[in-house]
Formats: sequence, C-alpha cells, structure tokens
Amino acid sequence: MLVKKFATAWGVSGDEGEIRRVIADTVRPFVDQIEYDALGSIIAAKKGKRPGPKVMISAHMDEVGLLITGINEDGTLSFECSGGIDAKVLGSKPVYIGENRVPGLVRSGSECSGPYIDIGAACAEEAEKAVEVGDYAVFVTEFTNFGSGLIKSRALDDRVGCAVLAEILKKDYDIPVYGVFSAQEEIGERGAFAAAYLVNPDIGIVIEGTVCADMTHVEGYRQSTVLGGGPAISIADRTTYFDIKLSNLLCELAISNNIRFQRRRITGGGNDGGAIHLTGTGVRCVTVSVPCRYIHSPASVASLKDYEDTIRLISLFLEYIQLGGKI
Amino acid sequence: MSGLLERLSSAYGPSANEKAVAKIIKEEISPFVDEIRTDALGNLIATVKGGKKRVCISAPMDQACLIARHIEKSGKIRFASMGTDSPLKLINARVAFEGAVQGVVLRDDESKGADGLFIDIGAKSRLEAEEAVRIGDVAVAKGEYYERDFAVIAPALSTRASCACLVDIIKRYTKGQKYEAYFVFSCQSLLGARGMQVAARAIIPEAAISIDSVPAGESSVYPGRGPIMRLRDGSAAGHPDLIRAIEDASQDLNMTVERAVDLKEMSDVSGISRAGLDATAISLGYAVKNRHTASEIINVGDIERLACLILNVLDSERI
Repeated sequence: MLVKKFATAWGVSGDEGEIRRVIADTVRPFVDQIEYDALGSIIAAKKGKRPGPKVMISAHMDEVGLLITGINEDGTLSFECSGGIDAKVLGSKPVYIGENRVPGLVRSGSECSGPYIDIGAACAEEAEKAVEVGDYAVFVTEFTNFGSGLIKSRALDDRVGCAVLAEILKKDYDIPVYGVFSAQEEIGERGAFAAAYLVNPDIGIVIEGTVCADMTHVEGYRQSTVLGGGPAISIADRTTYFDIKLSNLLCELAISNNIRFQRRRITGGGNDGGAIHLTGTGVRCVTVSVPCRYIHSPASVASLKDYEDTIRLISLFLEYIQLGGKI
Repeated sequence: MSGLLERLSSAYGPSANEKAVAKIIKEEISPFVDEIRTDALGNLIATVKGGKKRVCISAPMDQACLIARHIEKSGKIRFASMGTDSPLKLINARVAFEGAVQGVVLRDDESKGADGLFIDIGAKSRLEAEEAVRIGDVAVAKGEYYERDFAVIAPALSTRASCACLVDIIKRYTKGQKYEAYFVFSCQSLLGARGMQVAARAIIPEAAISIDSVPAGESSVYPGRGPIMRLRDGSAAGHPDLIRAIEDASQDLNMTVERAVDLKEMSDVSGISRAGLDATAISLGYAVKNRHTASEIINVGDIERLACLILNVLDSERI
C-alpha cells in the first residue's frame, strides 16, 4: 500500500532525503521527467499532448518532527519542533534521532530545565558520540490498521496526500500535469513557493491531510472535518481564499458521481496553496484534503475510504479539465 | 459620483468573489480605456496607453466576508469572518448572501467572542437552513444607502468609495501623456493585498498610487477634512519622491492634505512591495468611520478632492 510505504519513510521538514528517494522511485516509471529543485522538492512532469491548461498538483512530503539544537552537560538533548507541534502531545514520546536512528525519549522537564530528550547518555561527551546538533528526530509510531477501515501512523500529513498524488500520476492525461512533492511546507510553504515558479501553472491543486476534530467534546463549528465524511474541499484558510468557481466545480463533480464529500469548515491553518496562488501573475488554486484526526502529533488517524475517494475526485477533476470542461 | 457610489456600495463583493463589483466598474470605464481584462484572481486591470513610463493607480473592490461554516440543528449558521478584525461590530446587522437570502447576526454566547455569533436566516431547522445556505456561502453586511449634503452612510464604503474615486479619475484622465497608465481594481485586498501582489507583477509599474480608506480617529483623521497621505502604515512606507509629488499637487490646488501614520493598518501598497519590483509607491486615502459594518460613514467631498489631487499628479506629470 502506497500510504504505508510513504508514511513509514522519514522526512522531517528540512530533512526530506529518505522520503524523496522513496517517492521518486515510486513515480519515476509513470512520468516523463523528474527534477529536483534547490530546496529539495520533486517536480514530476507528465507533459501531455496539449499545451494547456497546465495543472500543478502539490502534496508536501515533509512531516512535523524535532530538530536537535543542543547537547546538555548531563547528556540530554535540547530541541526545537520542526513544524507546529502542540507541546502537550510531546511528553514521554519515543523518537529516533539522526541517520543512525538513535532511540530517545522526549520528557517535558521542569519549568527551569524545559523539555529535553533523554538518549541514555551519562554525559555530554557520551551523547556527542551518538548525535550531533542539527540532527532531526522522528516519532516512533507503528503504522497499523485501526478500527474498521482506518489507519494509524505518524506523518499522514501529508504522506496521505503524496500517495494520492502518486496514484494520480500513474494515469495518463492529454494536458500537462506536474506533480510537485514539496519540501518544507510545515515551516512556511517554502518548497511549493519555489516549485510553483519553476512550473508556472495555470491551475494549482493542493492535496493535503487536514485537521479533523470530530470528537464529541468539540463544538460542531470547530470540528473542521469528519473522519469518513469524504474528501474535504477547502473554502479558505489563513493564506488562501481558494478559487470559488473551481471549488464549486469539485463539489458538483462529487455530487454527480456519488462521492461523499465535505467542506473544510475552519479558516485557520495554511498550506502550499498560499504560496502557489500568489506566484507570478496569480494562479487559480483549490485544495482537497484527506481528514486526519490528531494531526501534527506523533500519531494520526485517517480513513482509507476518504483516501480512495480523494483519488477518485481529483481524477474526475482532471478528466473534466482535459475534456475541455468549462473552468 | 453619488449614483455610482450607491450602486458600488450595494453590490455583493466579498473578498475573492468581487465579480459583481468588477462588472459595474467595467461598464463604467470601458469607453474611456484602451484595454481591459480580468486576471486569474479577479483583479480588473484597465490600460490607457500613452508614453513609456508605467504608472499604476489602484483601488480595492472587496468587502468583509462572513463565511457559513456550520449549520446547527436549530438552523443557526455559524460563520468564520475574514477581512475584518471586528466581527462583533456586526451584532444585529442585516447580512445578505449572494442571491436573495438575508439574515441577521446574533449572539448566543458572550463568553466566546466572535465564536458566539451566528447568522439567523429565520429558518426553524438545519434542513430548512440548508435549503437556503450551503457551507462555504458568504454573507456581507447589508444596509441602505443614505446621503445628506456630503455625508454618506452605507456598507462597504471603505473600499467601494476608492473604486468610485478611481472611476472618476479614469473618466477625467487626459490621454496622450508620458504615462502608460494602468488602473487596477484589486481583489482580496482585505486578505493582505493578495490581488495587488499579482496584479503588480503583470503590470511592472515604476510608480504606483493605491487609494485606501483610513479608519477615522485612529490617526487624527476625520471624514470631511480632505484627502489623506499615508506616510507609513503597518506594511509600507510612502516613497519620498511620491510624497513630494503629492505635496506639490496639493499646493498647486491649494488643497489641504492630511498626513497619517498608522502602523496597525495595511494597504494595497504592501502587495506592490511584496511583488519584487523596482517601483515607488504610496497610499492616498480618505477617512471612514464605523468601518466593516452595515453603516460606514464617509464624506463624499473627500473622495472628489482625492480624485482632483491624483489627476493633478498625473496631468502635471509629477511622478
């Protein structure tokens, strides 16, 4: 399963080497050209038979994780989050650090010490033999099936989107389709910003894993999306007001093809769209997301049905565009 | 100007959906410009050809949005607001969705700030509300247009009066000068000058003036005191060359121009700054009271004088 393959690869924002190799090897047989830009994004081009409209589909390959910022005298490590992680979910979580996958344990510490990572080293000297400042750490989370039709893993935001994009790239289209697996989304949409300038698309589609707070203790208007409620079509977020006509078109395609869908019902957060829609002289942009419960934490949960229906919906959208449908 | 201002004020045009406003403007200015087009984000860009120097005069079109995001069993419509920092000012205001549906902003929980607000469209159940409003539909403040002497009270004046001013400038602009003049009616200005950012890249101006409102009281400006020159706001500083040009024009016209510094405000100039261009820019404006409500207050004399000021700058080739 592509989601599992992608979600188990490593790739904290700024350290996307491993996930980049896994994704590039997966999509290479299906695309005309693979390029990497200076920031580390993959630009996988399917050139099509017609000149346009040129569609860029973006899914970010980086995940939230930790970045080692210092080695303390007592052998513990200080760290910063690479990407937004709520401090509440960090305590007691096991992590792997650096290329050698050194096991560590995040502790909340005291008000005075602040949070730290324990790697079992007795002193700074011993710790320095195992890790370096600048190493990245990922959460230790097993990928498993979860309940009925759900999966649990780290990094579903946005490996689930990467998997959707890889599936989309397996099909052929008449129009040029550029799949961008972007780097550094979680630290400010940096990868997509550069990649969008290289691709210079007419239409941008962002595929995301998004906030899903469908718990009973959360008021309906704050839930954003519901697990199993289908692909979430964004309205607006902090960085983009998504193209209204194209977003409505997505809703209509879902309705006419009996795909259960939902709108993303909060306006907070941001994604690659914020960078893409403001590149050049402006790009019409939409976002379709797979809801991910407990996003930006060591373990999140997604529905396989939502994932599969997201692939279907994006495919229908591309077919509509290449058949010359009104956009 | 009043007739046009009334039509612009009552047009439906939240951020990212300004097409009805653009349509009115396009009809007004088409006979006066050489080219006119709409870009991918919804900016309306008109060109009057002439000499080589590329100048850009812009005015924002959008208004604050209340985005329906959840419909409760009781039919209450919860919304997210965008383009305004004070949705609480809209309590008891009439709001209108695109089309015919209207509602009123009410509050059921004072402790929740803006989250305690909802739109009541008079529906008795979720089902009934869903027949009228879909998630993602956007409401805007609705109010009657009222004018007495020079005072105008109406919705959306804080952007649409800028549009009326720019339409007036285009109609009176003398062709055949040293400028290739670009007139931009910008989209998504209230979301952080996003429209202007991409419009500026298409135009690549050397000098730009953006016409923006300034909230009254906050920088000692007040409706009726004349045009305002913004030396600094939260996102941009007026260029010294343009400040000098405006001062020369105001002396020539014997017109008082208020100076404003307001670091809490943002204008379309920030979009021009972010576009990565070698352009001088400044924001000129007029005072507005009660901004982002159904009853914004301006003085239409300010708008007329502002148009004269900008026309003097252009006609005398001061930039």
